Amino acid sequence: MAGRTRHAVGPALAAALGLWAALLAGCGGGVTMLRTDDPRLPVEARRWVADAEDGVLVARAMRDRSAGRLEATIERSHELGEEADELAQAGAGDAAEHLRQVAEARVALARDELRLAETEVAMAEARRAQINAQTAVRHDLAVYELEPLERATEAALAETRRQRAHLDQQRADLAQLTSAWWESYARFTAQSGQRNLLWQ
Amino acid sequence: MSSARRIGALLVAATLLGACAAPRQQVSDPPYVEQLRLRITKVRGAIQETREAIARSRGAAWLPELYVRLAELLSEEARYHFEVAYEREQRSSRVLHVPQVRFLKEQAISVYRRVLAEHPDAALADRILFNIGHELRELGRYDEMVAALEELSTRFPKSPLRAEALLVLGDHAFDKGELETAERRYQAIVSGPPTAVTGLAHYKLGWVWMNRADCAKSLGAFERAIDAAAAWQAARGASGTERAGQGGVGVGGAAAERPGQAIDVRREALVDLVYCYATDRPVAEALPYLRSRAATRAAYVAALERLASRYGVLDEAKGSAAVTRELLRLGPTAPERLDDARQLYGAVTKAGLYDRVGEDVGLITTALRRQLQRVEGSEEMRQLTRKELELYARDLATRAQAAFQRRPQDTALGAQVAKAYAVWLDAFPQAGERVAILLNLADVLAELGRHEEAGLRYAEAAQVSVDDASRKDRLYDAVVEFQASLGGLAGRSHTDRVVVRAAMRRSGEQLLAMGLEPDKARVTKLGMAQTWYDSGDYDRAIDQLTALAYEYPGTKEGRAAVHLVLDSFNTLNDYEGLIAAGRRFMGPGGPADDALRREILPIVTAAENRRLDEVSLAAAGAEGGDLDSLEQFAERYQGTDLGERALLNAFVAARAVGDRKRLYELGEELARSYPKSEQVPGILGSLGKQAVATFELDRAVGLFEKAAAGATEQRPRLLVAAGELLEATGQTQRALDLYGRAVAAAGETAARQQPLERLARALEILGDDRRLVSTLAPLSGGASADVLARLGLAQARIGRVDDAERNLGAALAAPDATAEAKARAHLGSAETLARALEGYEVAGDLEGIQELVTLIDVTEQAYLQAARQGSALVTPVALGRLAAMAGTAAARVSRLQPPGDLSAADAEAFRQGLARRVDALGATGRDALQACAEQAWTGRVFNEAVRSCLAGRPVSADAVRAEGLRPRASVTLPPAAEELRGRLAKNPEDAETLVALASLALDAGDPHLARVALARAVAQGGGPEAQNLLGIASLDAGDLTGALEAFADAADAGLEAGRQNLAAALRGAGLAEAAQKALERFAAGKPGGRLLPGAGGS
Repeated sequence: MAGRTRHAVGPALAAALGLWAALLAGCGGGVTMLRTDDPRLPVEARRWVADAEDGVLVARAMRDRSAGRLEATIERSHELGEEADELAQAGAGDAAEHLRQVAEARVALARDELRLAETEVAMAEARRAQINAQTAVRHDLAVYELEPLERATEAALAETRRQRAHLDQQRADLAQLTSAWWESYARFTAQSGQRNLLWQ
Repeated sequence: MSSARRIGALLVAATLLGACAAPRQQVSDPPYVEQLRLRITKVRGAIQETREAIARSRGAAWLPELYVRLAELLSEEARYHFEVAYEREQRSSRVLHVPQVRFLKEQAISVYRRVLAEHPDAALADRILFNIGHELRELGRYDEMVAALEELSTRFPKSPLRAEALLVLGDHAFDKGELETAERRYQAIVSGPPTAVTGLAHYKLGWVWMNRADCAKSLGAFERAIDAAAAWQAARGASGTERAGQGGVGVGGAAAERPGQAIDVRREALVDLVYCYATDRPVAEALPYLRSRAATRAAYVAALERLASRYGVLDEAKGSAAVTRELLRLGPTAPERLDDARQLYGAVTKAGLYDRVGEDVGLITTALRRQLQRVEGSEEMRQLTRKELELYARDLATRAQAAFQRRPQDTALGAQVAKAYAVWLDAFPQAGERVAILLNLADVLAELGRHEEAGLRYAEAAQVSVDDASRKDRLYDAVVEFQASLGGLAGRSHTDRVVVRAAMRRSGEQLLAMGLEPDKARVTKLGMAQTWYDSGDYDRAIDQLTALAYEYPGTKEGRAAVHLVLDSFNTLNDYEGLIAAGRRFMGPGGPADDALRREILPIVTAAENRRLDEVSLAAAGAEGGDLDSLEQFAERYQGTDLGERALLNAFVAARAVGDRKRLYELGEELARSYPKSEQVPGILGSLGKQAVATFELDRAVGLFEKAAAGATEQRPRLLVAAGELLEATGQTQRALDLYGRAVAAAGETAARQQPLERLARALEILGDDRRLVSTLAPLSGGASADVLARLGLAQARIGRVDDAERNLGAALAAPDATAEAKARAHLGSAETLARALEGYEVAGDLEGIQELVTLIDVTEQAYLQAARQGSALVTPVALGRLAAMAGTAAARVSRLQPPGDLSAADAEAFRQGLARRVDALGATGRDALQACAEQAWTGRVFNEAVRSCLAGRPVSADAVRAEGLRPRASVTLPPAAEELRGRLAKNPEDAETLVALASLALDAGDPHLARVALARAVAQGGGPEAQNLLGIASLDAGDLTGALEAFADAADAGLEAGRQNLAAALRGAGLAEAAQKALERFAAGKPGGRLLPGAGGS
């Protein structure tokens, strides 16, 4: 199942994500994670560290959910492809083409949502490293150069913003494609009286 | 391993295996007769040995026991001979004539009697008598037997053998039909202490009463038999069987193993009491009664079988049904179960007892199945049996359904009917009536509201239906039921839910493939799509429901589909999707008619609001600052309330993250796109505050003015804010204009006070008393004490004494007058008096001179009163003015001449008095001047009045006004200022950044900005360095007073630069002596801080 998901993400994206992860790992890799029960830390600091840890876990859960969603979307796109074939055979070529476009756009959107989720995991990890380092420095537990860590978090944040903006645009495009699909389907059913092609 | 060794090993293994595999030799048991003969041989040996022992034991104490042993051995040999004969006769009869037996038994009796005769008190006498009775009974000599056992029971009342003897006597009487005698014997047992045969005696008594047709007593006796046997078992921990007969407890056990003599009293009593129970006790309690008394399941079943038979004979249907159900449940697999099934069917149909028909059909079919599993019986018989019981089961179910149709509210009956049909279907899968039964079952389930099961049954019926028309009907029925079930699946198992939904879709697909009328097609499709919706697969649900909406617009199902689509998006929290779908439905070519549009428009609108909240939340979250999505949202909904709210939220988010550039852009966009928005003034005002926080002073003034233009209630406050900024940049005239507009905007409300006070203060700074009076006098009605005091003071200065006195008096009388207002009012009064003093023409007489002196005293007191109010600004002015007045008065007094009518002595005294008065006035003037100058060192006050005092100059009448600033030059700060402003946008109280920005401004030639920034830095704890810089900025901006005070504070805080700058500034102001004094007054401080040009040189 995981293999299918990776394949669905695509080699180019996988490479980009790997590079991104490597960059962030390089920045935060030298930070020793603090324990949330470390008696040298005040309660507020422990909570802060724990929150960062939670952030990573939540981001990973969201990524897994996105991966599952991509898989379901791909599966559904196959079904939509079959429905498009049915439509084409019944003479609804226009509607069939629109349906195929919708299916492809959905998969592309789901892929990019997964990509964003991966980036958000990287961002949460970078933030965790930064917070651990800041906390350690603040309480004289270790010495770190904080600036690279801050830059890494900022870079990840900027990347998520960029991807989110891209996703917003994709969603808008998908909404337009979907409208075109249903309009063409409505025309076809009204003209031909065939209403069962999507229900086989 | 070598091959030779391997072959050897194989040979050994083969040999061993061969040995193991050799056929076993069969060794059969020896024939029973042979065993008996062997025993005879052995017992004869024992008899011989015993005889020899007796011969050797003459006179011994144990001789009676040896005789008893000999008799028992003889009896034993007799028994073996009987068994040999019995076997020889092929066990055909136990009535045999065997001479050896009779001979040996008589020998045994003879030996027993000899012992009794020779040893009448022998310890074994009771046992001897019991054994004699036993032998006599077997020899058929009953009278002698009775005599022997009666002797035993009479002579040995405490013998453990007495009860058994009585039992034998009772049985003998019972067999002879002498029931009274038998009863007496049995009663003798049960009335004695408990024994092993007490239960049996009760049991026998039960039979005695039954033979007398007294069922009540019989039942009681049987119940007591069961209880007594159970009690004895419990007490002895024995197994369930007692031994009847003499040998049960006999020593040596000669009769202990005798077959055919064992009886399970509890079982037999339970079975035998059934006869009377069936007639005497209620049917309903039969099963619990028997169950509670049964020691074993076998006993219970035996009793049930007897009871079933009895109820059958009595034609008791309810009882028959209950008992046969229990038998079918518990009874062992046997042909009798078929009879039970038949009896159950008959009983149920006769009485119409269908409330347990499901279980009954289950019992009948189980009995059938078990019977068919048995190997006995022909195939023909099996088929007949199957056919017979299938008919019974089907008949029961259909009769029960008919009953349910008559009582449809009886859902328990309906459930039983459904169960009966389901059992039938499982039991007879190949039956020809299957379709009919499936439909019956589906109908019942539908009636019961068990729609999902009904749907499954209809679907099953459709699969086995032979023609398309009926198949289609069944499938549609299935779809309708499935659809009805979808809402009620929440409490069902996951498997149930999945099965039902899959069945629904499968049925729907089949139906649609067969061609369906449009109304039915709609219903079917909605049901199919709903299965995705209910299973949480909203993506598929949305696709199918949308298809349905477009395929059947304007229909009930189409409308439902539209709502379900929107609800699916809502459940997914996909507001964007909901909005798009909703707009699509409502748009041209969409499936929504006007009515539906009215329904979904609020849903879409709510989603748009929620989507905006979502986007706003994301922009304000941990990764906030992503304003693009909000701006896009605003653009998409431009001109609507939603668009305005989006811009507002973007504005709030930009402010939260300190993005100044976007903040100003968004604010301007808001003001441009939504000029009538009630939020615009607030937004612009907020932007103005932001500009103040980042010291973009001109922008702040512009924003406040724009905000004021759109505001109503807040307009005075906004204009004042702009005016204050203008004052801080030396633009007092423009500030005056704004204050005036603010006063006008406030009207007669309480909001008028603040702008009016600012207006009065600004007018005072300008130093134009006449303009101040002409501007403020019309506005003075209801003005604050501060305004009235300033007005009164100005009026006093221009000689409008009456007006001045009125306003000053009002200021002093005001309950909320500040110390400065009071001080100013007193100063005004003093100035009025001083002015009167100046113009006072002294008459040459004594009275005129006296008046002058009094006027001087009153004026002096007025100044002192002003000085005592504690105003840092007014106190030195009052003191300075007092000094001036004292000087002037002293000069006038010194010029006075005594009146001409005085004597020479009086004239001299008069002159001396005037001289003392002149001296006193001189002293007052000096003291006042010194106190005024001292304010510099004690209160760090360096205003114009104090500086005059330090210089020894008279203080002018208008020294009370604050100093005006030089106009601010137009300066562009270097780019670094932007970053500092960015920091201040996020934290306006960052003292370090404030000082940095001020330094930048100071270096760039904008001391006004620096002065404002440093004032805030000092307020935020910027320290002596910030105070010193504030002094430099103030000096550059034209605020000498502020500069000196700031330097003094820095010097007081230990900064050497402050000390040196104070001295330098004082020197620059022509106060060299004061500068020197400053250096003496303040200790040398720590190094650091900026120095004025020329500072630090002294």
